[in-house]
Amino acid sequence: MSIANILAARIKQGHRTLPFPPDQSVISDRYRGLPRLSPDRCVAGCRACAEACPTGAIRVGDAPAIDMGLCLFCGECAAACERQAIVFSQDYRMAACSRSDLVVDREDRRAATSSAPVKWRLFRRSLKLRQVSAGGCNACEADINVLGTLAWDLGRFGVQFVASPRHADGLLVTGPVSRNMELALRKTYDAVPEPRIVIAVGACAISGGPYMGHEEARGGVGAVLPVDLHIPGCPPHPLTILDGLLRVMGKSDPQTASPFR
Amino acid sequence: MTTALLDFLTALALAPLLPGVIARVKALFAGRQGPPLLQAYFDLCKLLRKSGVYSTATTWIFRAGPIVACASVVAALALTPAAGRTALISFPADFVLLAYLLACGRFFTVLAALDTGSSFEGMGASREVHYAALGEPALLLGLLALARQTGTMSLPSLLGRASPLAPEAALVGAALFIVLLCENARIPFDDPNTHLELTMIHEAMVLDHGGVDLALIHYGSWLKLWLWSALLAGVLMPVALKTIVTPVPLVGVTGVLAVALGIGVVESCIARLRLLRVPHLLATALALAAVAFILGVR
Amino acid sequence: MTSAAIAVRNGQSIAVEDLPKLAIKPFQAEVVSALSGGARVAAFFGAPEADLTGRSSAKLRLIMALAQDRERSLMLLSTSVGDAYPSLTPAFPQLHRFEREILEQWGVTPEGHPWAKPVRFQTPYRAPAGHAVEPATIGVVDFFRVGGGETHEVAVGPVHAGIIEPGHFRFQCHGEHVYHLEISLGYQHRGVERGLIGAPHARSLHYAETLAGDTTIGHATAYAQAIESLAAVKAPEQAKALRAVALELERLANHVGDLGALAGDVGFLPTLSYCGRIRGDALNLTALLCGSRFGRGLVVPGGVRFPCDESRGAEIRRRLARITDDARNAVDLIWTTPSVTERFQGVGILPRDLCLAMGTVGMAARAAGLPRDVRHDFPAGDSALREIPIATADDGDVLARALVRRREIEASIKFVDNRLANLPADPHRRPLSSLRSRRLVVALAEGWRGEICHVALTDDQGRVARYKVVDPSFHNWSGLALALRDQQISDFPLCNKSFNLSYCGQDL
Repeated sequence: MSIANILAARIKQGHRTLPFPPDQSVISDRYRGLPRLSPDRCVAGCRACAEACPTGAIRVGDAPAIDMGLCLFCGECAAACERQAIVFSQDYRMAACSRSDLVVDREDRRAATSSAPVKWRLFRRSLKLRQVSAGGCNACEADINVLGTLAWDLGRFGVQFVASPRHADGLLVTGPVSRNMELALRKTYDAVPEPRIVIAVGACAISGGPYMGHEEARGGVGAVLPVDLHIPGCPPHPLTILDGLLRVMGKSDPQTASPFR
Repeated sequence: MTTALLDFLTALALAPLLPGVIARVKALFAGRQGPPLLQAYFDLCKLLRKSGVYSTATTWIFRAGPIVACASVVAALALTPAAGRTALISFPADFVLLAYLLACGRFFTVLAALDTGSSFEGMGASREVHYAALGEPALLLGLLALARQTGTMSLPSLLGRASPLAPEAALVGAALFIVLLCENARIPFDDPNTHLELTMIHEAMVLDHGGVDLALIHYGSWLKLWLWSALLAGVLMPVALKTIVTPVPLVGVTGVLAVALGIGVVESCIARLRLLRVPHLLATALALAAVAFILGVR
Repeated sequence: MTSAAIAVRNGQSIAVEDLPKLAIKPFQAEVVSALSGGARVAAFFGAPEADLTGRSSAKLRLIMALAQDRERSLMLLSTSVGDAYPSLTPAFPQLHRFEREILEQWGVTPEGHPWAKPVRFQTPYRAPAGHAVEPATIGVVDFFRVGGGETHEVAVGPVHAGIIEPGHFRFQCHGEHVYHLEISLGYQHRGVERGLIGAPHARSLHYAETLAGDTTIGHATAYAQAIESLAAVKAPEQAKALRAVALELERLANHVGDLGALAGDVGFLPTLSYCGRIRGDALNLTALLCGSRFGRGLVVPGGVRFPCDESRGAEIRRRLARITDDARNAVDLIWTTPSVTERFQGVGILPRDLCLAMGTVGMAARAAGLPRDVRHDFPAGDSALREIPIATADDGDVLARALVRRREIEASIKFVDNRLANLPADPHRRPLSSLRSRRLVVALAEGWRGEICHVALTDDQGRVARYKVVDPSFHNWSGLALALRDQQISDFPLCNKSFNLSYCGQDL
């Protein structure tokens, strides 16, 4: 009898929602998360990391910095550096409300992000998002889809993806905004009732990613719409997206908040 | 009168709890935590503070649709008794008015959907009325069968005297459960969480509403679910339980929540029907109700 | 059969001068004879004559790669055309999209093409004489219409409900019955092929990895094979083995996710819930290999970036065993629950003869009984891939495509388990030398959707002058459109998911 099968399967599969924040073991040891710079280890005049970077995310010189909005987290810079002046940590907490807060410089510098802007307070317990893929390669979309699954269970935080922009509180955009999708994206944004927010997920959505400078794409959502939350990565780990959403909804435990307050 | 008023207000207050219960049951079956029980309340509060976006192609009907739909369900709820108790308004053959109040709400929702001129809304509307046309006779015939069996014509006494041990009531209960799933857009008829616009029935009709309109639509749909659950609970609850008198409708509320639990279980265990087959299942419900009626008439 | 075409193996490069160049009539005669004999088109594209000869010319070289699965050979040939040439689509529909693409990119008209519509709405590389270099407005196309008093049209997309890439679907319906579906894509066009000119450069690997983000390993492997062949570098054995493991893990994760999504599309929540989680677990295995759940940063020309030692391999195998049990348990529910099987059976049928006519590849072809699989027919890379049994089914419906996925899941699990237990002890990476000049290479890989084809052409300086990518979706979108004929419109999401084609892979 199939209901017996279903119940048996459920017993076998068990309850699998991960607590948030989860145990660090959930993340692979080779995961490339928040980059940390130690400029005192640099050799004067060395540009190895900047030259290895495919998108020009690294600035060397007096105040070296790496822009996470451009970063593809490929690790080429860390591999090119012989002095380990740039390493990728296991910290997945990288989201930021303002674009400039995505620029990481010295290891112990804190970027002052304002606490959850007033706009987000309305959505503290109920946030309905409409996802728009504007040229995304499907990896960011897949990681967003995965947030709805058992292990991450976005629904328990009151966040849900809806079918119609009229039902939504905001847009979750992926992709560099290809020219062919620009009009559709604008129309979708116009259909979202106020107050509304826009979240840019992934390097492409923040800056164009590998497609930066292409005439076929607009170079990120920021070129088309006002962005309220940036989530870097290529693609961002589901934890990065979840952490960003929860922090901005004011649901993260301050004890575990990242250095990016 | 005051108990009936209290029951009515309890229903109005507790209806948003039902989607939370169903979601929790489904989450339990899936092995995940699921949304908070009170999520529907949070959603409503937020929606009331949002503005709406109106297409320039729509008219006053689009704005009237949600208001009339919600109001008609509230009116229908006034006719619905909690198990074993009286309703706010009752008179012989009040269940006919109930069915047509619900139909009036549906009619305005459909009009609002057609007002947008979009093909999805049109498809959703055509499916909705098609299935409703098949479900309504099952409801009416089922309640008539109960009327025949209990010898009364008004809902409170109909439901108060129906016993699930009698074959008529059991058959009517089965028929009503099937129609409940259809009218409230539940699996196997419709998937309330689906993101596939071509498969939507009810959800498709409300794709264009936002803000306060959407809040009214959601609230109206939860009230409707409460109403149907109360009807079903009334049919299936043993008479012994129905005679327990309490100041608050404890038994009634428990019955409704039990129905919600049942809906959650059904949704977790079977797949949606192909839309071609939906009329077959509704015809089955009609057949069950007809058999119940015949049993009463002999 | 003797032929003027040159036979190559998968990943074998030839000098550009050795590419046979025929006049249009003998070229087409060769193609007709090959296609009638059971071959299929792996790639057909245009490259400016100047790119191949180094001398300026207004003409366009049309290069064709034909795959003969039974004989296991790839045939290459080319011809040079001016502004137009006779279209072969009326006789061989599998060429239609390729000819349309040549028209859109180069302005060269296939005369007699019955469906000469834009493929990607992109800015042409070269405009037809007298026209400005402007892209066509996307979505504005002469859609095929069915007339009649009661028929209606339903337009879906580009933004459709759900977290999915954009595309436009135009249905001609009578009530719920679909007479015809037309799919118009191009919304994801980002200019990948243009970006790959001048490869290898800082971004070229990233283009290959992100051109179809869920097939990172598939495309990166084809790219790496192409570049290695052009540089005359052989990837070491451990690298080939790890690439194969990652490829099969990618296949596993996507298939598990798809089966869950198929169940979700019919409202069957158990399998949807469990498979969603299990897919995440499978992605975490790839993350164990290289830090990225999608395999970003693993495959590079010359090998792989990360080695896999014994303890890591053992950890992956241990987790894989747990996944196997869970996956079997979740997936079997589809076959043991009648309400689900009933939804899948007889829906979205793409029969064998249509697959042959449209040049369908990969899973969709295998589900119709056509055993097309690059791992067998054009082996390259890890030799152990050849041992994986080809999974086929017969009916060509949604259930058959689900069955193919289920069989491939089992096969991939077994492969990964065995391979990790027996990894070769090579270095994992060799340095890449510079590319040889004036060479052409065709690299094929069996991505999880089907055959991936990369064709690269180098110039005098040893840089890529032209790069052509043919994602399996490029072949298969036509199959989806045909599979919807005479189906119910509410079954469309199910059919779409059963193919699960890549929008950005087609749009590049």
